[in-house]
Amino acid sequence: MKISTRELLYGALLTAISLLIPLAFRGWLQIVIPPFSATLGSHVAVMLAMFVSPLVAAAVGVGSTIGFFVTLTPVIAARASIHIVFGVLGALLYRRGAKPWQVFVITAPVHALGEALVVIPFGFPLYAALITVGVGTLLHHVVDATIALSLYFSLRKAGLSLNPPHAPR
Amino acid sequence: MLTNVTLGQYFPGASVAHRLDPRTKLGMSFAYIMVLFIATSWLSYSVLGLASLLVVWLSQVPVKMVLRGLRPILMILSLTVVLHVFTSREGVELVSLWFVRIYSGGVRQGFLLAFRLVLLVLSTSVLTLTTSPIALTDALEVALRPLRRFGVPAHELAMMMTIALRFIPTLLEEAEKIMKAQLARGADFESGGLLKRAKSLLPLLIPLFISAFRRADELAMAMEARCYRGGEGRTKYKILKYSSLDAYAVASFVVISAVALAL
Repeated sequence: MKISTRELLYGALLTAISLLIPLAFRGWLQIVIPPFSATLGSHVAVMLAMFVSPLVAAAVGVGSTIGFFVTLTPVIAARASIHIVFGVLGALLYRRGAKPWQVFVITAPVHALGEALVVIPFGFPLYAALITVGVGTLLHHVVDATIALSLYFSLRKAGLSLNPPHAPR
Repeated sequence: MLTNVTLGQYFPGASVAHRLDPRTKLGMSFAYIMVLFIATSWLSYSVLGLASLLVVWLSQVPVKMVLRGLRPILMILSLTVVLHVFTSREGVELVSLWFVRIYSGGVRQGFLLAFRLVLLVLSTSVLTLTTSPIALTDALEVALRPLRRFGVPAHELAMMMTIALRFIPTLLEEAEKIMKAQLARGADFESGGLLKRAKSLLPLLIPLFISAFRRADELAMAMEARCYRGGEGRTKYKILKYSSLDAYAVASFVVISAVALAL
């Protein structure tokens, strides 16, 4: 698996944004329904990375997992690790010709179920994991997908291609 | 509106924990997490808890800072205990009051899981408090290196993390500038419900993403102009080195883990 310099940089800056949004906007856009907590907009970076390439989507997922492990708690890092799975799945679907909205619809249940299951080893009771975290993540996914779709079209309108040309290595 | 971002929680110092090689600390933290999941008895957890306290003391990080890491999980901790205490039907009945029945198994399980979570957060907090994010990224690159055989771009992932951590303050500054510019144009970020506030994010996020992608293009060009060719043959400015301290730390960790698992 080779990654071009441009893809590396897109991945790095999307990772930075994926870490920045929950850290900087947590007071303003945070929803807390114990034990579930989420910051609106926090999935936007990984959702946009799906349109760059599967490798960048995976890298942004790994980056946000590591970043949250370094900056926040392991529970949040574990939840962020699911972004690798749904990010890669979404990127592969997009590569196969799925429309952006279809990508977000298909990845929503994978994302919700993944985040619900990953918190169970940390002591979350099954009910809290499936109902609160699962349903909460699903709703959060829908809101973030709407923001990501608007961004996707705005970036295209601004003349920015999300598929960088592969630089010679 | 934008909260102050503390990147990582690194607390500079020269304690034993600070002087350990980041690879040793990272490896031991992962191994400790595994031991925590394998251990099942209170005695094992007591040994691991005492070991954690010893590490906190050795790290010379103010206890207040270490405990701050527990604040975000207080709700999860209480919910774990409450749900186990009131829903489990294992063990001896301790309380029977109208429809409320509390069993010894539920109490034991609830507190055990909560304690495991506390130790989990405590150990990772000590790791991030005593290791700078850049040192941790270097250690992660080494940890990911064996996966290169399976095509995982270890160097690129570490480089991506380093660039991401470096650019968070720059992007934050940019976000603040955009926010002020949009406020001057009459944008309202604070009033309304969550959905309205999410919608109000767009005038902030669109310019932020556009500038981030333009910055990425410029940086890629600058790196390629300086002959950046990925990880192969690349040397490091700071080379990680193991010392005898790492050997003592690993040996102590193995002994403590063995004792904890044997109990």
